[in-house]
Amino acid sequence: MARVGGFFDTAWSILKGMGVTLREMVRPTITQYYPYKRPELPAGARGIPVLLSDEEGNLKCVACELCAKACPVGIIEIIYHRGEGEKGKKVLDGFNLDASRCMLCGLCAEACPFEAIAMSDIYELSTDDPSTFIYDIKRLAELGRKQTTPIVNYGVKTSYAGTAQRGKTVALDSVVTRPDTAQPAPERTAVSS
Amino acid sequence: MQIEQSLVRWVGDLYAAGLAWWTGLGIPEWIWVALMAVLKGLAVLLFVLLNALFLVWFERKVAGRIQRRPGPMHHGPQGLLQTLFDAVKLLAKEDIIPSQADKWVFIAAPLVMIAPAIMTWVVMPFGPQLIARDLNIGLLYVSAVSSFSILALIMAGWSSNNKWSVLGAMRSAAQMISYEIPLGLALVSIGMMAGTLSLEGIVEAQRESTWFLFLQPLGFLVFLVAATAEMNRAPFNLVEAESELVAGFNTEYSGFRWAVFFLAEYANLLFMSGMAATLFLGGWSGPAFLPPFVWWLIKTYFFVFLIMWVGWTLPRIRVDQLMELGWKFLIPVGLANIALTGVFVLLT
Repeated sequence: MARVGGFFDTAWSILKGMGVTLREMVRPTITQYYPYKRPELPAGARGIPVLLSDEEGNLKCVACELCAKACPVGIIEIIYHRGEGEKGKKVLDGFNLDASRCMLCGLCAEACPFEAIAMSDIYELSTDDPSTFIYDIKRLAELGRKQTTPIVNYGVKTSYAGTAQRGKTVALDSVVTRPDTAQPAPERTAVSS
Repeated sequence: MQIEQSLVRWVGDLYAAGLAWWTGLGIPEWIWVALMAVLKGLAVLLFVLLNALFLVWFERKVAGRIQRRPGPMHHGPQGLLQTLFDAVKLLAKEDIIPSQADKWVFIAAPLVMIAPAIMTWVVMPFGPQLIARDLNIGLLYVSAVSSFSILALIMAGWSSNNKWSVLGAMRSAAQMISYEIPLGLALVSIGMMAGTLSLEGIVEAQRESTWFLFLQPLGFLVFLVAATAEMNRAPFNLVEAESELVAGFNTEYSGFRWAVFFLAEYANLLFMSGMAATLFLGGWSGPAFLPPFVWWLIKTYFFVFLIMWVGWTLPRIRVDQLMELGWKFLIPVGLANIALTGVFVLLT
């Protein structure tokens, strides 16, 4: 007769285990019912980078290309031309960001001395149309204008053109309309300056 | 009680009136009797299958809640229609039979699995006269018929032409055979206590004295452990240990054939819980403020919940630990229980 002596110990430990599971049964579930309820993002949560505008609505970016050089994946392309004169100011013409490769590291926002690019709170980037993965300047500027939560880059509050209250994130489709500008051809994947 | 008794009388009157009409038409009587028997069987079958569907949902909810998650939530309120959607999905799947498989055995295995799961319900007493057929060898019938599922497992494992299936089937057959004996011993002591093997008689005996739970604590323990092992449920579920044997004997079964195995498992679970309720908790007996059938349901579902609760608490035991438990612990305890019961019956 094996283990008859240990029977009561075993039985007691089983009953204790059942007590634990019973207690767990009556506790509330910790499931987040995504996508019906979206999570509260913590401060400093990084979404896709967007271009910020000043109070007049002009982009703050001066095409210094520091973000493009800082990007470890090399997905930022900056297109500019120089104004008249010897040392003409750079004028930003195009800013392309390959969202399919962006790893949301935030190094571009950290590098920017003008607070012109910042990490938004948009993380729902899936799409069924891969040709729309390259975000052009229009889209990035629009997303920057629609940013409703404060952007905190590594503890430094960035100014932005938008409302100041903390809110839940919004689905990409509700803030972005399908771009009507001609997008770069789908063959273009990584872009670099 | 009143409602049920009047319902039973109404059905009896309907039966007699129908019989009179039938013989008035000139058709022999036995056809009517046979038809009515088929209808009774269909009613029990429908009850069992609906309950099996409900049980699948119930298990997923209980398992979820223990793991601090909600279980199915989407289809229907609290996910109640989830099982129905799953069944429809399984019906729509492609029916795959492995090319080297033993085709007819492969096809027959789910049938051999589900037939005893439903046949055992013939003797389950749902109420004072609500029993499909009160065989006076009820307990023996139960023990004999439920052993058929071992054959189904071996057929499934062998015919799949797959090493995992064969291993799973052999393990499962060893497990189920080893635990048939303690199950039988527990049933024997119940039979001794009640003086009859008929399940209706056992319920009557409990109504006269007290629940056999109090008179047979050892037998209760042996029955519960042996029943859990018979059903290949956790902690004895190394047959279907998904992480070890893919799905054991189930591996090559897809679509509706697999669903039949699954439903048979839950029909078995419900039956064993019903047996525990009938043999140890007095079956359908209870105070008159609830109809007897509702008492039966409450007790059965209490055992269903208990078995699921234990299953989701304990880790799986090894095959050698399982064999040791069956042969070296449960059988001696069962035999000791029979000896004690014998002494008790002699003295009273």
